[in-house]
Amino acid sequence: MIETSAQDRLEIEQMGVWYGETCAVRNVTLPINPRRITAFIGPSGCGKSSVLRAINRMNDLVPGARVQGEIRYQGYNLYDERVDPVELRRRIGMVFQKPNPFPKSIFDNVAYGPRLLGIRDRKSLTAIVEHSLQQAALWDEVRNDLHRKSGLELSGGQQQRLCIARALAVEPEVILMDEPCSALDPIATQSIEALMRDLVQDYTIVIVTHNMQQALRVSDYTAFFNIRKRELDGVELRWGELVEFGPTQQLFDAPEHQETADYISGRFG
Amino acid sequence: MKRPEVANIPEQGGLARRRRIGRVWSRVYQACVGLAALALVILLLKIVDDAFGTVAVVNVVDPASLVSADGRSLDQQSATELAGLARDTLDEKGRPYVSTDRLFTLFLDEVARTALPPSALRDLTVGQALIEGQNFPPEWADRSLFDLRLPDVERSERDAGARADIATLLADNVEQGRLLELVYSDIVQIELLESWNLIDSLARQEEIQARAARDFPQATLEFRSWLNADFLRTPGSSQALTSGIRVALLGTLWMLVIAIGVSLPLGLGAAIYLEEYARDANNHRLLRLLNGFIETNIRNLAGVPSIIYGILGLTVFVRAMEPLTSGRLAGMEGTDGRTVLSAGLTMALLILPIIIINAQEAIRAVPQALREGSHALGATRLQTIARQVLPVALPGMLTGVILSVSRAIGETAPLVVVGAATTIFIDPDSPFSRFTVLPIQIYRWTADPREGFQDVAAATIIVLLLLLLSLNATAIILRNRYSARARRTV
Repeated sequence: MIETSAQDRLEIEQMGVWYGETCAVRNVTLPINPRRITAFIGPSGCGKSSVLRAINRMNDLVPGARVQGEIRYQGYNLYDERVDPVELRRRIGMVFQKPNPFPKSIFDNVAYGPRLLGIRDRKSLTAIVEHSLQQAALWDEVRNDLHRKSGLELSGGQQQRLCIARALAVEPEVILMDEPCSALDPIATQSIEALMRDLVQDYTIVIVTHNMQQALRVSDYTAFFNIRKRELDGVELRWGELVEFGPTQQLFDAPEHQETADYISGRFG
Repeated sequence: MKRPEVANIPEQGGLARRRRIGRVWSRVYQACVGLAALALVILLLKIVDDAFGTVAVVNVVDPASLVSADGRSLDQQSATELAGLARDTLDEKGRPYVSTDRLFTLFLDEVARTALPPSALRDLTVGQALIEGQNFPPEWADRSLFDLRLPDVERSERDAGARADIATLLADNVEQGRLLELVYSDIVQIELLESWNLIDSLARQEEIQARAARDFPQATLEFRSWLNADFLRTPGSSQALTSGIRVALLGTLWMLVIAIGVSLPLGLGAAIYLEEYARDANNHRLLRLLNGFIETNIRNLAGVPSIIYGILGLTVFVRAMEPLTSGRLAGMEGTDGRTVLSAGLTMALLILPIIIINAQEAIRAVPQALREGSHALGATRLQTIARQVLPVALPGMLTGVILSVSRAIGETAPLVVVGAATTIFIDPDSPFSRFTVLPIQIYRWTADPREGFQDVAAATIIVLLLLLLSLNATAIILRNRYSARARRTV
């Protein structure tokens, strides 16, 4: 039903994330289709955030974190020796659960990424900042305060849109969003969701969410993760696994697995 | 079902008792604050009490006896007349008040090219030594400068000649005011007979006046602030009245600059490594163990008694690194390693743990979300540290600087071991100078039994406290400015 080019598709294959001796999630195999929104849902501790953070190698920054399996993108395994994680993160941007604007002016927040790329020229920076803020639907609200206001002076929803603008400013191909609305009120959530629907025309979006209604509202594909437990020598081991992946409508209307059906209908346990 | 009346609860639950206990404890805590404040007030009072007060002073030579033949007072006499007084006035034992050495030093300071080392002066002629535009009899041009300077042990004819020659040079080339100063300080001289504390001076004024009239009829009573502009400008002296702290103040500043200059970059570097790199997952396990070990020990080092740093400084900087610290490697004429450089380096070691710990804490307090946000935009680790971590951590780092300046400025023990001089009159003018510092001067003067030196010590303490406060205030203002910029909301 949806046309995708295999080149731009992220292929996660037999992937697992470990923190030291503890397995956070394993057995994850799913495609992430370009210019579509893919939602990861599941209970807390099912490893969906770990999978998301593995995609742009943010896990590299966590001491003791390891990733097994493969994530293929544009013909490379992202965990290949030759892949530069810095360049990778420029192409695969990220928006975090709690809005984390830098303690700088709005302008400097958005210009941060372009400046890292070596763009110094005032005119180009101004153009990029304006364009990115427009894309993030924040321009009209802050256009007069670009240099006067710190990013931290904005409201929660504005801060999150600022973070999205900041991510867009480096022209990424994929945007990863880790529960971007969990710290926001319903109205701010609505505006972020509308924004995602706009952005998906040009970007590939992956969103982790606790809110199944949100997944249903915005996403094209949904992956459901669940927790697995096992007793070993009296110690309970817990890890996450991918249960089901499919087009959102199909997964919500006719889930293949009973667990999925239970979770979606709120009979989780 | 009947519930107790609210008003009855005290009888049942002991509310009154609880309130009483609460009151007692809040009084106890209040008393703690009160005691601490009282101690501070007493300390300050004692210092101020010593630093100001009435003094009984007398002139060794009455200026009235130095008026000129036609009755003009000292202030109205010409440079030639004043130079004559300096040359000719003798004390009761027949020795000149102003020694030939003193005249010669003044000549070097005011007239000759003083940049030359003393050994070079030996071979110089008067003509070579004088600065252009200064006056001297033409026939002296080829006279050896050394010839002018002969010991006044025996007042030989030759010496008298030399005295006369220098006096002539001074009269021709030095301002009248400077010579007047010389006459006042060396001939008239003010002698301190007794000094009273501030509280006594105010409360028992009449008693003091009566006593002065009885014991020192010729003396004048005046109110003196031991802390004054001259006190800051002059070096130490054997007389309490003319003692100053210039050398010690400069020594303290030199030492602080060297100590902070060395330990700040080192400390920041170490803190950045320990916080941002040491816990890396791909570090070898042994390296991570070593890093943990180092970190624990830095914390312990902050508690090592300062005298031990002194011994370390003596062994390493004064002895082992002598060619460097004495300045011989830099081509200076250093004698030994007991220089302000050694002191500064020793102090740098002493404050390094404080700086590292505070910088580490400041770096650790930077939200991880900022680092992640930066990395997610494709920043490298170096860029993240430089653009996100350090600016936000800066105020906390300045706290470390404040604490370490406070520590360094008051330390005495390690500097005694490293070889601070107790009596020194020459300004430190390079890292390779001999030095003394304010706390050491305070220590020396406090232990001096002669009249007035307690007061000099008190004035020095005030200077030390003011210096400390102003340095800290600067750092706090800087810190607040940066943290206001960094916060500006939250």
